[in-house]
Amino acid sequence: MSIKKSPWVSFFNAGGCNGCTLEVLACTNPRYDVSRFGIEIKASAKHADVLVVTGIVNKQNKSRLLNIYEQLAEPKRVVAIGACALTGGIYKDSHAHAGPVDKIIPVTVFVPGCPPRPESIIKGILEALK
Amino acid sequence: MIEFVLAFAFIIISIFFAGIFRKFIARMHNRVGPPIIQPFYDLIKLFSKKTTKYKNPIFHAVPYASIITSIVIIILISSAFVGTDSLFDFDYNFLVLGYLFILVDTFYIFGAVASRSPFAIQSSMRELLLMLGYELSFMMVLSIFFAKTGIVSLADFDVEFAFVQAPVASILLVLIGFVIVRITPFDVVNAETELSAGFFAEYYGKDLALLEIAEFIKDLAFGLMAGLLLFGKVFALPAALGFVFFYALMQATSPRYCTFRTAKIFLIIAILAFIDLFLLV
Repeated sequence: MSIKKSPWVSFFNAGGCNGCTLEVLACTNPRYDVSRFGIEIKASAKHADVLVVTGIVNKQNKSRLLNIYEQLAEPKRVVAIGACALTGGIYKDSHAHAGPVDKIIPVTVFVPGCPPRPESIIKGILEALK
Repeated sequence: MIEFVLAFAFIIISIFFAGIFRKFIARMHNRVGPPIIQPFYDLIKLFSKKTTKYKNPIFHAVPYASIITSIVIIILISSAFVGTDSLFDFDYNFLVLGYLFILVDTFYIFGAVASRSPFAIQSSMRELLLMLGYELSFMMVLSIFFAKTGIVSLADFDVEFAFVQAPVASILLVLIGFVIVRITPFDVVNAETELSAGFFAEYYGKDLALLEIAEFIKDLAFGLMAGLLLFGKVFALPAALGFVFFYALMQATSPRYCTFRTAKIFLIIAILAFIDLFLLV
């Protein structure tokens, strides 16, 4: 109950074109305003309840993603955003691709799209809290 | 006894003020913003989170030490409203108040160093640098108010609109508030975009909740104290709300100065406060 009223989100861009990152940031602007749901983007992963991951996970960022995931306090939730995070997208056959996010850390909700719209990202985060 | 009841009411009000501050900022951004009771939801959530023990005992002692100090600050402020019957009414208690404000920040530095987080350590280095300027001027500004009015304790401070008598000190007090309440352009200590969460980068769960409450109480205590000194007892709480609005406006509209520029500005503030105090003597 308490987590639904105050989900704090930490955000990690694991690689890719930055399109999904911009859509995640668009969620905080006056048009979408996630703060009305109590959602706050926190700089420190230790404060977060939900980890939002965007982009392909490249080989260099794999250990960093695992490190950040371990810093989250229990109970942890992960939302993978965008085609690259789900399957690898257009970078699927790249030599740097370390695998989709769910092969590295457990994922609660997948949000497809290239990039997904801010509405779907907000819905995805709220779905992860159920 | 009344001051304890009043202090408890102020603690609840301080959490509401934090919600009002967020709402003001959101409205200035043309956003709807979180509900005013959002800080309560945040605190309930943080208390319900699992916290694992870290090996350093100082790290876990700091949240308790800082919240106890903040509660003592708010009790001292409450004693000013109770009057001379108060248990905490003693001569020169405003100097104790100044020291307690410094003590809370000192505890944060202990916690930051104990956490060994590079962000938190950077934050404490900045705090130590700024302390040279703002803590000294804070004590001098408090002394100017009490010296100009000839009053020696908070409870006896019944002067209304004292800012007319001490205009320079009033402006300096509002400027010092930017650092104490951590508002742009002088919030280099808790600069979120650069330093993650500053002192609190490694804290989570119950420890973070206690630190957040300590911050809320400290912010309201500063607002009440500034309201009391500038406008008098009757207008202290409305003035504190006014300060919330003013600081929210500054937070929403101003950029952040770099650390050395902030340090230079506060060195100038310290010199001005010294000159103002020297002219009194």
